[in-house]
Amino acid sequence: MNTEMENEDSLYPIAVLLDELRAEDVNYRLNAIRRLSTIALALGVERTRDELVPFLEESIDDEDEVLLALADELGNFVEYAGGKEYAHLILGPLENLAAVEETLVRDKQQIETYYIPLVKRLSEGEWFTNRTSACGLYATAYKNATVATQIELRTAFKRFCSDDTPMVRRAAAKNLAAMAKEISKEHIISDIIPTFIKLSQDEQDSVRVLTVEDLISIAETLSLDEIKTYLLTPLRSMVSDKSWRVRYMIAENFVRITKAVGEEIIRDELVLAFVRLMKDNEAEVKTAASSQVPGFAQYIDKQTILIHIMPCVKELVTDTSQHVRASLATQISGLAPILGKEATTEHLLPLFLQLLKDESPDVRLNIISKLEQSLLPAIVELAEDKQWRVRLAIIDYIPLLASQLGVSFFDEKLGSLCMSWLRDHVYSIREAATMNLKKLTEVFGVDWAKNTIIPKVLSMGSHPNYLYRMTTIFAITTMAPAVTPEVIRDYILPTVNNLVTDPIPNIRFNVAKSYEVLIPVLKQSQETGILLDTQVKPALDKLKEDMDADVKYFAERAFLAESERSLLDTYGKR
Amino acid sequence: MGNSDLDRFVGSQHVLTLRVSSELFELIKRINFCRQIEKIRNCELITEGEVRRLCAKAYEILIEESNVQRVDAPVTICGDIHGQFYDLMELFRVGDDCPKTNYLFLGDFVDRGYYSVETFFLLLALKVRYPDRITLIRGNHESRQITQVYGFYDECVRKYGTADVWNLCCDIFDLISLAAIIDDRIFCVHGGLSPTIQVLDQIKNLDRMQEVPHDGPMCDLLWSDPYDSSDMDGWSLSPRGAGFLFGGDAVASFLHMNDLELIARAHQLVMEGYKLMFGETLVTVWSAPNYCYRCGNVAAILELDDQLNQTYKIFDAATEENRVPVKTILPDYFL
Amino acid sequence: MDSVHEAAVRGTNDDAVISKASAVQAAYISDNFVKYFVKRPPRRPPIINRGTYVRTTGLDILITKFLETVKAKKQIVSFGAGSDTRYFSYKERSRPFHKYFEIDYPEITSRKVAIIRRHKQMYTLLGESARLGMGGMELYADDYCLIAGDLREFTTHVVDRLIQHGFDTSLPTIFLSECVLIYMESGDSDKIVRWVGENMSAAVFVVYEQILPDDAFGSVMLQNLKLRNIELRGIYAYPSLESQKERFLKRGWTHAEAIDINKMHDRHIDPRELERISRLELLDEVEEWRLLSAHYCIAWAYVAKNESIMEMLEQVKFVYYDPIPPTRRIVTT
Repeated sequence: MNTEMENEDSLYPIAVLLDELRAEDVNYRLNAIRRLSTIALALGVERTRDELVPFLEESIDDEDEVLLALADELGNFVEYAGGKEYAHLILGPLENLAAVEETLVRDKQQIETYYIPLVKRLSEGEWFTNRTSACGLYATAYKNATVATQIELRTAFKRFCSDDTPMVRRAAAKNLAAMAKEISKEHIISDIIPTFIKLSQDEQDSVRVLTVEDLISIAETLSLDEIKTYLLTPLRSMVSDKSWRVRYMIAENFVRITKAVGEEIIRDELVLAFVRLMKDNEAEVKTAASSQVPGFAQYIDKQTILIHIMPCVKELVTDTSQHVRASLATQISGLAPILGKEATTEHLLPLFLQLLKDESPDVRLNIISKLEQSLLPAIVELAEDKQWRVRLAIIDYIPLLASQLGVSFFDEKLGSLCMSWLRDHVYSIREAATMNLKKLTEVFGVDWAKNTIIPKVLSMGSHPNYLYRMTTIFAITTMAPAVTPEVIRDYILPTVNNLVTDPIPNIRFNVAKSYEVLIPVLKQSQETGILLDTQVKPALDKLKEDMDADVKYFAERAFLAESERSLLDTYGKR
Repeated sequence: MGNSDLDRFVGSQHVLTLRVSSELFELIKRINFCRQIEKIRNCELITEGEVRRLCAKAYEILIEESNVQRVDAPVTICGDIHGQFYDLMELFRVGDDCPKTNYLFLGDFVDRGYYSVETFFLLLALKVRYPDRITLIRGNHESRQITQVYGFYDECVRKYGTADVWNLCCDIFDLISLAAIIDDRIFCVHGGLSPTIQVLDQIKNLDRMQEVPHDGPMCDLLWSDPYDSSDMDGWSLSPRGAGFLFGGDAVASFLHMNDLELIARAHQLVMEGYKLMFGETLVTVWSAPNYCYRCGNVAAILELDDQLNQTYKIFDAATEENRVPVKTILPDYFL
Repeated sequence: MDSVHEAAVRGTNDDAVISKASAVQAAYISDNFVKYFVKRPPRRPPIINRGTYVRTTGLDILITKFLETVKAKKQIVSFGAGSDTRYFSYKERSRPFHKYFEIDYPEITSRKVAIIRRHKQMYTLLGESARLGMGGMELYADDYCLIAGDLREFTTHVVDRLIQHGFDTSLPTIFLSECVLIYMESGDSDKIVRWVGENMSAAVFVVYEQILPDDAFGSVMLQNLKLRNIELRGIYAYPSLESQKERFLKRGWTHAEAIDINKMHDRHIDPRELERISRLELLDEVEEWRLLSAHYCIAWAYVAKNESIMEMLEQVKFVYYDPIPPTRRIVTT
């Protein structure tokens, strides 16, 4: 009972505090803050640490007055939390307070009175946890400190870099970037850069890894010449660091580094550094580098991309690690707008298609997920390019795309494009388009062709423009070997027969040539074989009597092809 | 006609001979002829003997043609080629092969480019094999005098060792028609009009079988240029030193007199491949891309469908993999 | 890499002299000495002959004007002179000049010295004082001096050599650059232009070179030249007639002009001469001629510290011939 009471009693203040801190009235909240020390005492060190401090850390007020009061109270809080060795725990809420610009920051008095002493106490703490925590407070402290204090802080921070404990050095490395942002250029060069260089050469790679971020922050504050003087050497050693984790970090942040160092260094140093990372032995590094390809490509000229970057990308596409390939698959489409049409067709699309065929489903998924948002529009645009050779290159990719994407996706996204090429004004495109239809028939099957493309092709056979009729003849002749005799009988032959009387001789002699191709297919089945006598021969007889010499010749030739085969058949039987 | 076709037919000739007929002989001859076309298509040089046979056959066909050859649409009109053989191959990739497409070439097959010999023989072989599918008319470079200055003569001597082949070709040049008329509506000529010609019959009455004269109507048809300027009408001297400059009124009057709608001609480099003038009553078609491997222009052909609707097809020079190493082709500059 | 480029640039001299020999043989221009440099001149196409004619004639007009109007001792300095024979032609025709300086790569000057030395017709024109120098790389006479050097070192080395051989910055001088500055980085050629403008008491500078690198013809031209390992490194710095003038005006010159070869041909060549050359060869390549000629220019500029010389230098320009309006050429039929 007694203990129960005690528990209820001790819980009571927290509950009240909670309520009061959430009150609308600022005065209630201020009251609550001012009672913090009483409550902490009542809770005892353990519960202060475990319950009160985390709670304070989470609740940040938006009234300056309340925050100031909180800062006041927290200054004394170390004692309630169990003494110096636990002081770092108070830092959470303190840091939060420090981050609220408009409040404490303006009040240097507060900083000098509460914050700085705390930072100093922590810095000299015996426990490494204190020192690591202190590192995190330096940037804010520095920004708001008096000039005299700033000198002290810089000196103190430098000491962390030589701390015996790697954890402290790590914290220093982690917070150096933030420091660099607050320190004047003069002191960056005199204090921060030596600190950075020391850390970047730390024996522990876990420390060195963290200095990549510092490098970027420092570079952002320096001029080109200063970067060259102070940062090139460390940058070079990072790129070739013996620990892959450092190289990974460089690769992972390559675009940010690029952005920070400026054009000249990009050209002279980074291109080759990037190539090096893309060729790294470790899959992790290559994966990270892959993720940076399009971002980095934005900073260099097209020629350099083609000469230096694309060959590496090409190798990465067939990397043994599927993570590398997957990373590349996500990123590679980003190169299309940078490379422009022709280079995309020539260099990028083959890689893209290679990835589409990848054995790893993750890789395929990544590339397909990018398809709709970036590559499909690119393909559609290229498919209508002014240069017919670009269009031709795209058509060549269609069967592979079709086989990877599946029939419904194809019908929806690419079907009409494939038909539009049949009407292209460049012959080679029409030719490729008909070959494409044949290949698609092989991919999706005869039934698909029968229902989707063949009706469209045949409908062009009655178009008033003779070129469309020519394309029909040409397309069905090309497709004939890929379809069944029944399809020929039911769909194709009637159209061909109709064109025997076309007014244009060029159509008529292509009809004759078409029969020549259809004959062996029709012969494949007994049922369609009879059509030779009932339909094909009469048509050829008519064409043999044509006024035009070329029509006659090709009809003659088709006729001979037919009879020559029967002749051979006869000989064969003997 | 593809190679596989040829092999299939020629390979089974022994079967065919079982049923010898004159028709079959003709067929075999044609097939053999196709082989020769294939050879030239691969930019292989045909032998001097083959040249003689080709020219003899061409002679028979061309001598029958009229000064103003009648042509039916659909047909594709091509301008100057100038020995740019690989670009002619590109032209066929764009416009489809002969005989599938009917062609009308407006002259200047030879000179300037590095493959005048192959270019001329391919066109001539096509003419012999498919006389109804391709029409050739004469350009000012199909001339003894000009070919000696602009390269064809030198090329013949370089490739055949003597000037014999050049002589054979020049004799063929003299037979090529001077003009063509498509469906009685479109007048086609290499250069342009002549102040001495008002009606088509005047061209029909010319004696064309001769070297291109330095002046007179035949010279003008092959040399003249249209000239669009507000301060000039009618006729003036050409800066070329032969032919005339003719204005919009001359074109209008010629079209009216002969009940025509369009003059299609070549002869002048046009950076955009083709150029319509005088309210679209005259068009210049230029089919030699990056002319002389130097000018940076695109080429065009004009496709007329069976209703005489015009489609201009633009194309660039053949890409490097489709031609000989470009290092051998280095035009002159002032250095 | 650079030596390939240099060798190719030196090779352009052969090309220029061959074109000149072709134009001489076809009677476009007359020159009694070019035959010693080209044994059997090949025939160049008519537009190349015509272009060589316009180039040679254009420069001769300006040089002759300079020699005739400036009443003082005069010098001629020819940069990258190569196998140019102008000195001998002028000497033969008694054109008045004090001294003619030529500068080129040693590979070229030594060949030139050997050819001059071998042919009495040329060597005797040099006079009795003629002597070889630098082991046959250079040639000095009273009114002629052939110096071997690299123009990229003009201000640091070549000037001293010139002065050593009697070059006088106080004398009115005409400087010639026919397709020479354009092969240099503009930084290097600018130094020459600036030095001449600042150090000569009176000077005319004449440049003949390519322009318009960015249109269809121009970009094909650069590609084709690149295949011959020739890079027009200076063309982007002075890609137009306007920038060709600016190159001088920005460097302290008093006056500058630039015209393309079409203008030169159509408006500044005597129509009687045009008539004469039009009879030499049929020019069927009219459109190509227009294109090619639009991509070459003649630019000239002058500077003078002295008013009276300035007035004379103003006379160094072309005569303008009126175009013949086409209407006047109507032929009645």
